[in-house]
Amino acid sequence: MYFDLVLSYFLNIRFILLVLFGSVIGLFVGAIPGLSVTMATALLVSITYTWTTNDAMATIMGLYVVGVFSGALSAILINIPGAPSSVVTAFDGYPLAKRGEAYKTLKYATIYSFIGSVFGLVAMWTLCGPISKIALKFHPIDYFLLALFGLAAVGSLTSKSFSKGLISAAFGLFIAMIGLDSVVGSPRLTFGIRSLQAGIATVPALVGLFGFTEVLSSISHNDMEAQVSEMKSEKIPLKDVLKHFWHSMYYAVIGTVVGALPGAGGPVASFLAYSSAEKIVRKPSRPFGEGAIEGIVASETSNNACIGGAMIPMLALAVPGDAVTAIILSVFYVHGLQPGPMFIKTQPGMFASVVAGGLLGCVFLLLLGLVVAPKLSRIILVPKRILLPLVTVLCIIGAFAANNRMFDVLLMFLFGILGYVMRRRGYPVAPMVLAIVLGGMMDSNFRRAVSLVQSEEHKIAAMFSSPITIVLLILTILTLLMNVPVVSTKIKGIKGR
Amino acid sequence: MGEPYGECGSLFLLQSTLKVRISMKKYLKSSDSVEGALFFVISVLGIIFSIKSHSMMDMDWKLSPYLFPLAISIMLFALSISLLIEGRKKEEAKKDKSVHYRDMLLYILICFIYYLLLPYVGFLVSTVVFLIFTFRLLGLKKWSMTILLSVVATLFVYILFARLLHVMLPSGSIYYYLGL
Amino acid sequence: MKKYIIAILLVALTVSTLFASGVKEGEKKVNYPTKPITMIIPYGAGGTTDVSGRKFAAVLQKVIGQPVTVQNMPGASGSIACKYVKDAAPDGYTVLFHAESLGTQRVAGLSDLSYDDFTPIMSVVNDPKVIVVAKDSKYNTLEDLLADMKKNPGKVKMSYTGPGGSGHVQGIIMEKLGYVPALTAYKSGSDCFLAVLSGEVDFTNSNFATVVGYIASGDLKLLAVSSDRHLDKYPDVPTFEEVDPAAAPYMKNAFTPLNFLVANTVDSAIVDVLRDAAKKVVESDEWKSFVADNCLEPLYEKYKTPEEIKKFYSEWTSLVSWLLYDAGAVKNSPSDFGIARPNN
Repeated sequence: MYFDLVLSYFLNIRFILLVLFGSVIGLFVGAIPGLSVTMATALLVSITYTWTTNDAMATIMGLYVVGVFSGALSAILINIPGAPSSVVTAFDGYPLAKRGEAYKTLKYATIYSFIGSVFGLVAMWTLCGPISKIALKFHPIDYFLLALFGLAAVGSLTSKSFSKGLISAAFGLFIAMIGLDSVVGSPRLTFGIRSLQAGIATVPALVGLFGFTEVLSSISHNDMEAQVSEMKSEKIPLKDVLKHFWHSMYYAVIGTVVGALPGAGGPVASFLAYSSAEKIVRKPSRPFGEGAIEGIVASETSNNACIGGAMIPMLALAVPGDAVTAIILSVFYVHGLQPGPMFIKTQPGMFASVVAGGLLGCVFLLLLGLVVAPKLSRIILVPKRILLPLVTVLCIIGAFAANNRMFDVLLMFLFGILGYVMRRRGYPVAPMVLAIVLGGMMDSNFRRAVSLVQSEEHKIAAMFSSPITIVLLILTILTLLMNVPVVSTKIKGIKGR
Repeated sequence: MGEPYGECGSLFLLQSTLKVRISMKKYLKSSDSVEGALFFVISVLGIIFSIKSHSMMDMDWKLSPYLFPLAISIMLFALSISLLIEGRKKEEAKKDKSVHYRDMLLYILICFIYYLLLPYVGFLVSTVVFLIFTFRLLGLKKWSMTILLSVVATLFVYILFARLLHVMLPSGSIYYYLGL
Repeated sequence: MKKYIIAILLVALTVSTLFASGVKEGEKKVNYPTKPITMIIPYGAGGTTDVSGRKFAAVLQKVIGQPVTVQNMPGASGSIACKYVKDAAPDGYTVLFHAESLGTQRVAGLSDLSYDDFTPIMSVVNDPKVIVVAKDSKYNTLEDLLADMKKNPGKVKMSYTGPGGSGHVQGIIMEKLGYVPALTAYKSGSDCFLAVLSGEVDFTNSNFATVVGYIASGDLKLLAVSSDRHLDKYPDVPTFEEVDPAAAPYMKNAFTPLNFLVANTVDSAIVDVLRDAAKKVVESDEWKSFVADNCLEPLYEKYKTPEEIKKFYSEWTSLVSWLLYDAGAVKNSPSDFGIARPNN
């Protein structure tokens, strides 16, 4: 698949430097809570108008690959995920950092993000056609079931009390319902407030529930000193790090396939990978949620594998897999290229530059992650009385800049206060964030599925006709059943025997 | 908005149920049970609200915008009962160490004022002021350090975002009206 | 110490409310533009409005000599972005590149804004609506499709981009003409044609630029154009009204007009600067080849003066508002806003 073309980019100094430029921006933007890779890409597009498409592509791919990774930095170091797809990384990453093991955690995150990104991009490079065909087989009902499956899994992952996890998800779903209904266009649950008609955006919710909550929680406990006084700097042999390689391949497959489904993306992939890690890892180094390095492996591999996945429908079908690829798509259009089924054939050079830019981005991910990230991690040595106000300002910028609305800043504060109350009472916020991300998609896909079978004779049969649907349905029902307290104690009893 | 009647009704219900909740409080042992009861009430309200709002729309349940809210309410209903059961088994955990509510509330108040000032005064001025207040509140001792840090941090953030990354920040409408 | 802080906070609060209340407008000179201009696009990245707007901005910044930064501000059918532009300081540094929905926001109950709240700089392009089916579809011509819909009302599935959008309007027009499709709403134009490709629905009414690659590759069959004008690239493909003449009154207005606007409070001198610049943009070769590549209909050739543009807006608003209202797709009656019924 145009191996020589890809190779030629690897030898192009200008191309390499531009990827590096993008990567450095990505490292900072991704790590700052609320500044999303999406926003950075959109802004970069304005800067790169006048550049050639290749130059623009190099910068954007570098930013994309490293930006998705660096969301993990703030998740690990200050418990504030840079993006929804890094939420899962915070589960185990932050407890590890609190133990002073930030260096080790960052090393694992970097190496497995690298592995995930390379896997996804190679899959995109070699299997673009077949994977896009699989993605086309997912119908509205399957999207609904996939999201439901993700939510069902998350309730059990994040809380000691299954009910509390799912209650958090339920409220998240309510929040996702707010706004204009996608099918009939009437306002729903807006209580007459005009500003709510656009719905509640993910960024203010994420930044509030994690960032501002963290600030409030620190203040209320009056811990104003640095989080850890010193960091362990033990050497970890690469062999030890790579012990999880085979498991990571499994997470990477999850990430690539979920990434290729338009609209699902990183958050779903990382949650699914994490929940399967809980099942396939027999003896985690520490219990999941308290600093299991296996959790970092699962989350980071899968969310970075999503990059390649998300590029697949964009390249093969001109349908963006996520918000960033939507912007890349518009870069193609603006530069006069015509994405779609003929794109790879008619524009092999462009395709190769996407592949090469992505792979070079992976290399810089590894370099920046191993060299610069440990330096950044010294931020946790800053006293909190200085750190917290600065984090607050960043939260505000993030909430505002996503849509340039002051209303979103207000929402961010409200979510922060809500998150604080939830944390005090033992309700996990992660299910709420995932539900806000997925709620709209669940609702519209479910009703779309219903609407599609309206004109059929046998409605139920038409809805559950495809094998994908049946598999997803069974998986979802099983997950839900397994978590009902009565059933789960029975199963444990059987296993114990 | 089409459903003012429904919302008024739910508000009234909310008030009356709140009263019931308060009187029930002594019978509920742990705060999990209290929350369970609260969610129970919310879920019932949600079910009523969904059915009521749906009846104002002229369409099938299958395609109604309120199908999902109804489903979530029913789910919450089941979960609240499950939480009530869990709460009965558990004794109330001891209150953890002293919580500094005063500082926290003051911090939220400062944030709120910052939020109000931002669109009018703009990012630069309001952020410097915000940082000075919050640094002092959280116990930064030296004034010189406080002011220096606030100004430097604000400028750094401003240059990084507004100038280098072209992120839009509130610019402050008074400057326009003052003719600056 | 803390009392001190509280006292200062209270003062700050009072001062902020002072600023919030009415401030008089000062004098300003026209030295424009002296800093970057922000172009707001009320839809998400990657759609037809976004692509055209970004291209327009790219050429505009060369002409005007200042960077033009594009911001996507999607939500509530574009009403959020319109309100943002309307409320921004009227200094000409916040401009709007909008698709059609500004004309229908009031009847849909989304906002109080309409085209009257904005000054048109230019009516830019129309992305023609086309009817497409999958390559293995049993329909080969629009006649086949229409005949089947007439025989089996409510059985032929069509995807559209959501309530009040141009795809929805197309579906309503078909219903008016006696062809009843089974409508299913999708999130975006690309989701709509994806549903055709995967066989979920039988056909869709897409913007041409969205599907041009698929028509070229043969994955989609192009049946007809919903316009009164043939496509330059496919001159043999019939227009809707050639197949059913009853459609003629609905086809004379562009369905997806993309417009370049500023708030009507912006100084007329600034408006003139922008109009001149926009004219230079559409005369550039770069823009012309973009228009040709995507088969866009240049509206600036059709509606040249601001008066013509305003007339077009009011006709469009009246036609589409009443169509939506009569079909029960919107709640508010157009007559509440003084929108007259179209006379045909």
